[in-house]
Amino acid sequence: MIQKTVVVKNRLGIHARPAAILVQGASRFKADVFLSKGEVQRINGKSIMGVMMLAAEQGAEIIIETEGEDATEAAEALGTLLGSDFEDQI
Amino acid sequence: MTQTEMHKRLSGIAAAPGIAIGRAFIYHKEVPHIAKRRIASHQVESEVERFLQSLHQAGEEIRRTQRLVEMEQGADLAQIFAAQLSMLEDVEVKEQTLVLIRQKCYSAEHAFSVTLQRMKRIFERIENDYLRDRLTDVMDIENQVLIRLAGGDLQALHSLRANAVVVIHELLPSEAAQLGRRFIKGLVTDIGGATSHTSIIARSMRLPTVVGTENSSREIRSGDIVIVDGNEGVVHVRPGLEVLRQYRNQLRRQVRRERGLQARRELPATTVDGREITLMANIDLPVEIQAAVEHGARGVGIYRTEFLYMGYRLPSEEEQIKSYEHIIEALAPDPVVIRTIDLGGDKLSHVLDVTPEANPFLGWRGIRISLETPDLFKTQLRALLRAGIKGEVQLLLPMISSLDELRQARAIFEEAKAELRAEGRDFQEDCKIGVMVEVPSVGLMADQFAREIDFFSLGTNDLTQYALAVDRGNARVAGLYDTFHPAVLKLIKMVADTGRQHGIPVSICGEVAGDPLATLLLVGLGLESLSLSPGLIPEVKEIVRSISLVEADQIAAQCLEMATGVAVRSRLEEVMQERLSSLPFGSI
Repeated sequence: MIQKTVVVKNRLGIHARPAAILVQGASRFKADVFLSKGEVQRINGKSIMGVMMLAAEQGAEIIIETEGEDATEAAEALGTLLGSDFEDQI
Repeated sequence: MTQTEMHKRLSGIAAAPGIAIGRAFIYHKEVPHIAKRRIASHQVESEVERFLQSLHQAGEEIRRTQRLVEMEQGADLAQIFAAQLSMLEDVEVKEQTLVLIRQKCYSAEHAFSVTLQRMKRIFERIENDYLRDRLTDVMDIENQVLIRLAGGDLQALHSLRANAVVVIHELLPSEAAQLGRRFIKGLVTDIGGATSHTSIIARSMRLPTVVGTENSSREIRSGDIVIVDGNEGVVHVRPGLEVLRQYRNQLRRQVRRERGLQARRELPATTVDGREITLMANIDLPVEIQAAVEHGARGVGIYRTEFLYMGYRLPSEEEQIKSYEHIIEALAPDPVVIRTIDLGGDKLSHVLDVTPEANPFLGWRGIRISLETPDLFKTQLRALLRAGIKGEVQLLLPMISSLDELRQARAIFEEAKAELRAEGRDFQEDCKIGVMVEVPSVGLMADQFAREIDFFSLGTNDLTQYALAVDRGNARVAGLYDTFHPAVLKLIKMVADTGRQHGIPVSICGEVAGDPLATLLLVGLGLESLSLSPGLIPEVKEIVRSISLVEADQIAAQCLEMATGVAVRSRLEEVMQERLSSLPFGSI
């Protein structure tokens, strides 16, 4: 299992649209992806409901956990995405 | 039981005039009752199949609606459905539902609804208004799937057939926007008032509407024959033949009248003694442009751009240009007055850092937000300046209360122009600037403002609220809200007089501009330009064509001296009664 901690950089946090982008990103990998923020533990990173329920604001600390054959790549890619101002780049 | 015995008459509030006869389409946003049913273990796999099938069908339905809305209303509104689709196809929702069916032998309905209940409970706890508002989307998809599981009719707006009368507990403005005029005949809601945003949109779509009927969505069944009487605020359910015949006659007269008015759309709006009154259109949504053109609007007196900001993100400069160009081209060479964003902070909590306010109407809204978020403001200014090359655009600033605000806004406007020049872009150099007269301070200082602006626009809805200190959305005090109040009339007169002295145009864009009862008075107060809901233009034009300036001046002078709004109204009724009934569209 790979674990990685990132701080949300996107100005508006992870609302519906960024959540959809994140879920799309996570779904490209075979590995299971879990995200945690504070008390909200291990939600499925491939679920838009889950990601939206994180209600991550800008500056929130997110723990990414990945498990599976491409876990390293998945953690890397999602860490980069979450740590960027990704809404402005699309 | 015969039809006559089943006939039911429901009364509500007349929100948009006209008669509609059609079959009821009950749009339930609330989840149908779900029996907590268990299934036998040998039925599990067929239950799973049934669930997946419904999920798939609901997905197809949402996709169709999404395409349709995108075509009719643009990509912004269609995003709502994209988000719904991703929720519907969510892996967690699917997995959790399947687990409940397989391990606990829940029926598909029960399993799906339990899964979404869990999601909803978590959503409800989220301390972010924008995300919490997504609850309505969750309920929407829940409804879609459950209805399919129940083998019921498709409830997506797309499946509406011509001839349908939509009956709904409560309709949100964004939903009202989705009800394309050509799909439905009429609208009935359980809750809502005549001045709600939904009613305003219904009027502009010329959709006969009765709101506030309390329990129509329960009393009426899908497929029932329904008559919507938007003139009287009455709904007839399963009417007998006699009632039906009466209304069919009324409907025929209505159609003839509309055709008659259409035929007269090229006639000028000129008083009998030769004063031309410019009738322009109020536009909330791009779809209303067609109605504006059809009814002979001489430009757009106010394009309310809030619609652009209700989506999931801020509209880009290019997106705004596209939206503005569409309107400007349709009405060129007549001008299109674009009012910059006029939302309260609460409506923008998804994109701005907003704290709750005790008095939103007196709080952070309109120009106050724009001046503190100059990037957002400048993007809109750049877009309207660039779109202006397709015709003529004018800039209208909302919620101005002091000259300082006007000057700051102008500075940003000049910055936007300088940027565009430096970038070598084409834009409309001579774009005029005007202010909304909503806050009484602007009316009282009209003289000072007139030296620095090109036009005034009287936003009488807000002006009335601020002058009389009445929130018209608050049922307890709404009765005190009265645009005919002599204090409001004096403010209007003051601004009209000042405008004339300085040679700058003054127009009025509140709802009173579209009230046939008020036309004579407004002309008498000195207004030469009225901006109103497109559907009302033909009627108001007929009145303008029937009055004289001399008479208008006299009546206005009398009204200004009166003690109460009620007295003003009854005087106007007295003067207009005879005239209104002799006009081609009959009595109001």
